[in-house]
Amino acid sequence: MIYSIQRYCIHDGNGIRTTVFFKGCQLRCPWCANPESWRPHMQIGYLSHKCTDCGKCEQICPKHAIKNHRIDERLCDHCGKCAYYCPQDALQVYGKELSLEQLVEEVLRDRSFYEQSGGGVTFSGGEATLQAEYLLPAATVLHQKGVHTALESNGLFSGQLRLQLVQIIDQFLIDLKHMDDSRHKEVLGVSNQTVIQNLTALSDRDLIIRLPVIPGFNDGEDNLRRTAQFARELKVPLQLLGFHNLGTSKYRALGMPYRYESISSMSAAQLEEKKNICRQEWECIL
Amino acid sequence: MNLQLSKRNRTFRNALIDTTPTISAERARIVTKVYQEHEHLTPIAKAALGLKTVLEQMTIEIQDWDLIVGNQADGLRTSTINPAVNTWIVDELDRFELRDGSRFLISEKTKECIRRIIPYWQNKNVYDQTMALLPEDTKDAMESLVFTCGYTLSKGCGHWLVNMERVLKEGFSGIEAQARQLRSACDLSDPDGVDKIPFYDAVIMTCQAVRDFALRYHRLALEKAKIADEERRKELLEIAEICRKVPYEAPTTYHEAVQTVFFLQLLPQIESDGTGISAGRLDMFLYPFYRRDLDSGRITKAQAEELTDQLWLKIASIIQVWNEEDSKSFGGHPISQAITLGGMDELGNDNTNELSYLMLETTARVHMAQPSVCCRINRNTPDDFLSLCSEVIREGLGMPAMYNDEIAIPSLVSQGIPMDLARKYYAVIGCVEMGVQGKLCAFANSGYFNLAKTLEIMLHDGIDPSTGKTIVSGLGKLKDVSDFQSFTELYYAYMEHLLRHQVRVTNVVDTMHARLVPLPFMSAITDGCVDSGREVQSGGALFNYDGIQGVGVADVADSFLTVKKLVFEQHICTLPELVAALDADYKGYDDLWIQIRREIIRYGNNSREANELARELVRRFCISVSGYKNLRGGQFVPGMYSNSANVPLGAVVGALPNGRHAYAPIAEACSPSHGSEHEGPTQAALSVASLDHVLLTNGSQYNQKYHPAALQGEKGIRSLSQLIRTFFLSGGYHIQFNVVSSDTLRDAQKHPEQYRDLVVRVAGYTAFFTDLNKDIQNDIIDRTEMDFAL
Repeated sequence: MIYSIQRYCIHDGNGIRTTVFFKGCQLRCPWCANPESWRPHMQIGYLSHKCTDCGKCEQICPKHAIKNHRIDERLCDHCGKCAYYCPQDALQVYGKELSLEQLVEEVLRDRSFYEQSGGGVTFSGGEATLQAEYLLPAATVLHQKGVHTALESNGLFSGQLRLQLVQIIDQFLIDLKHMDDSRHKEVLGVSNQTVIQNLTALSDRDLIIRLPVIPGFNDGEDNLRRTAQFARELKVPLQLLGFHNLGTSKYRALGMPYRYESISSMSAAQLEEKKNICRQEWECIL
Repeated sequence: MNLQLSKRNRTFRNALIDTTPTISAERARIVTKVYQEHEHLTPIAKAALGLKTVLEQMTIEIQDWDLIVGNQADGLRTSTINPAVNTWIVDELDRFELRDGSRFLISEKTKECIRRIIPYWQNKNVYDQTMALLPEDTKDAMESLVFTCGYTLSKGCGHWLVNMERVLKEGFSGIEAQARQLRSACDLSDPDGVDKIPFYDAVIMTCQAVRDFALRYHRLALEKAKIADEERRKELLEIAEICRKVPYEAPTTYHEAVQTVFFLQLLPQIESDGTGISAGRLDMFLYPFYRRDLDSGRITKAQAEELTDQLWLKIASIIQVWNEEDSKSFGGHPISQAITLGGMDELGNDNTNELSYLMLETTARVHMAQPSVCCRINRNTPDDFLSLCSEVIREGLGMPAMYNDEIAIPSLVSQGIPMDLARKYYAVIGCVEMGVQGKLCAFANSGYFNLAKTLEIMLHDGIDPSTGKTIVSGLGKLKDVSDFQSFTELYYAYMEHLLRHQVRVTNVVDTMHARLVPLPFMSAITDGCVDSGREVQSGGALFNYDGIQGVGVADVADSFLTVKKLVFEQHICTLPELVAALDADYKGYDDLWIQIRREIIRYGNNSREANELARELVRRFCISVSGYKNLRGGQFVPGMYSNSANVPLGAVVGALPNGRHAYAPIAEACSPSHGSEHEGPTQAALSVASLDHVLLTNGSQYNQKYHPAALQGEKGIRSLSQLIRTFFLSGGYHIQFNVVSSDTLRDAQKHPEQYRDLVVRVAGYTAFFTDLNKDIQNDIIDRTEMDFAL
């Protein structure tokens, strides 16, 4: 199950890339910009600003699951009819099953751009490694066809899977959200030990450690320095990604509360400041 | 990149931006008098005398900021008019200031003057003479906007790629000498001599008139020098020296060469009022002068930059008025004075030089809607050059537009241009048309052909539903269509039938231009004319085109696909049911409309089916257009561009099978229809590249719009360059970019006063956003904005 394929992605990784977003994630990071990526099944979002209240969706729903544009999850079987017939595109389906062949074909459609730019495919999410049975053969085929493969991951995969991934993934981009394990556990509900182990094991590969800089959580000087020190020990680049609240509308569409809604996006200057702290520990900061 | 203009050029630029365009009757008044007093002369002699008298009597000015001199009319940003082509202006005199876009000011005195001179031209102008000859059914088709010939029916043919090379080498004295020599060889015992002798006399008179025109600036500069301060006096004396020499004698310095180029750019726009006067490959032609001056220490790079910046601003000061109707197709004063940078030499080696870079930076620094800067890219174009192009594109002025040598050169060769000439002289004419500089007479915009209207008429068995008139009869009926192939074949039969009307009009219009408004100046400089002793619009040029552009390729291809799927494969509806839905503009057919929008993977997403239908449509259109010869012994050549004509051409077309609602704009140029590009910029670009652009010698056009965030940083620049390269390797011909957010454009609609110099790419040209009318503004906002994950 994937929820989006985005082409001409140029700000992550080498060249012009196509990013495949897998649906489903074991984490519920409260700042996450892609809440539609959490659940591993199809969902339907409601974009109130496009809706003209025509009532078509209520009429057409075979399960009578829609009242006032709110979809009753208990009744809905995700047939997608409501979104299909909405004349305003105010209902949006998140999630799509693609066969392996279809996925490969979709990615290869941009091949000429990869060749010109040194780009390729990026598997992202959600968490792509949760669908290893899909990810592994897809990455294998594309890798064999000479497409550069990158994986964006939260790093919570098993050592066994890691051994398989290194055969077919050219570049790893892995989040390290907090150095302090108790803080990591407290906010994310899991330990960072697996992440640290995977990062250590992948340090001889093309690896970038990524720190999503979240105000009030991991942007303190201590955590910044410790993360940079860790990257220095592994001799791998560390990339800082500034927090942004562009996901707000998607939380609304899904009828979910968003704790970071009122927190403003980080400016380039603020991010640069954080990077400069890291640079005091390790030169290779992206 | 240094974006600071020098002080004088900044003053100049501000003056241009702060000046609302005006209309002058001076040129028309002088010409009318000459014609009235010399009725007995041959047309070419009258034209030459008219031009000579204008150049002697028109108001000339030297502004305080001028290093380069020359003005189009009595005022900055002041358009001349040409009643010998069309007298439309007399009907619109009181409406200029009320216009929604493309506004002009016009004084009461000018109006009075125009009212006085227009009666002389009634019935003897190109428009009236053309209309008198056209059959009724052709007029009906034209009135239904199956096609437009608005351009050449209301303005001079324009679209010249001015022969800079020859004048930079020999000056007008060289041309005059050749004309004198050939004239002396003429004898009336040879029947051709009867036309050749007055032709050569006209050329000789024109060369001298040009010399005398420059001498007027020489004298004015001397005059002004007397009262100028020390610093300015030196400049004025230099201007005086330069104008004593060029363009009659060949230039030797960069300053002289730049002045020559500007005279050459200006004079065709005084001789007539055609647009698309293009300066062509200035980096190539001016480079030797630049190199020599720089090496000898005669000028510094900064001085060369200032002169080049000023050349751009001088070109920006030229303006032409369009009638109200044409202002919709050509919104925002598109003078389309194209300059082409980069590209190959005659041997096929890349010819990008230091001036190519300098001129790109000038474009960014000057940041005006004119001139329209185009870059030729080939596989050996340096990455640095492409990168600088992307950087300038990011500045957001819609320039440079990017052109692919690897498509243009075979395309020109396929039209009979020798390979070495195609490589060396290919430059962009006006919007996107391919030309060979200094050697071509192209009525490049002989009008738009409305592919979408053609479909509507065919779906209604030859009747235009908006007027009820029968436009086509005697072709097959919809009820006889039994399968998809017979459906498309019926469409192509309609297309061919209707296209013939447009060719008729074009032939008549061309004939009238040649007879009624001969062009001695263009004939003097265009290769072939002096050699052959023939006026340029009468077949004197080495190469001769007429260009017809198809508009609405995406709508028709998508409509074909809809019919194929829904009617012939899935049997969801019949053709009559579909037509009933169209007649109702899909009201009461909501589910059908939704099915069309959801099920049909439209052109623009690189699906093979849509690509193939669009490619075949283009191919058939090209075959039909290329089948016609023009009256100058040349060829009709097809193009696929629309400028802003997709808005008025859409406004007469009812709902279409692709789900487009009635009277909405049709898709512009080769671009996918609005809101169709679900797969992002890469796949949209590959769709466009899948068309056979080699067939489209009159040019094809593709716009992409980017949110500025998409081009951030060095990576943004590099990726844009790589996108352009990939598009070109895949077979695309032209791509241009609007880098401005929809939010900014909406804000500019609300607060035009704050966005006086916001320039956007309309189509084949750039315009000030606030000069456009509301419909065209909205059309630009609606174009899919390519944005992506941040």
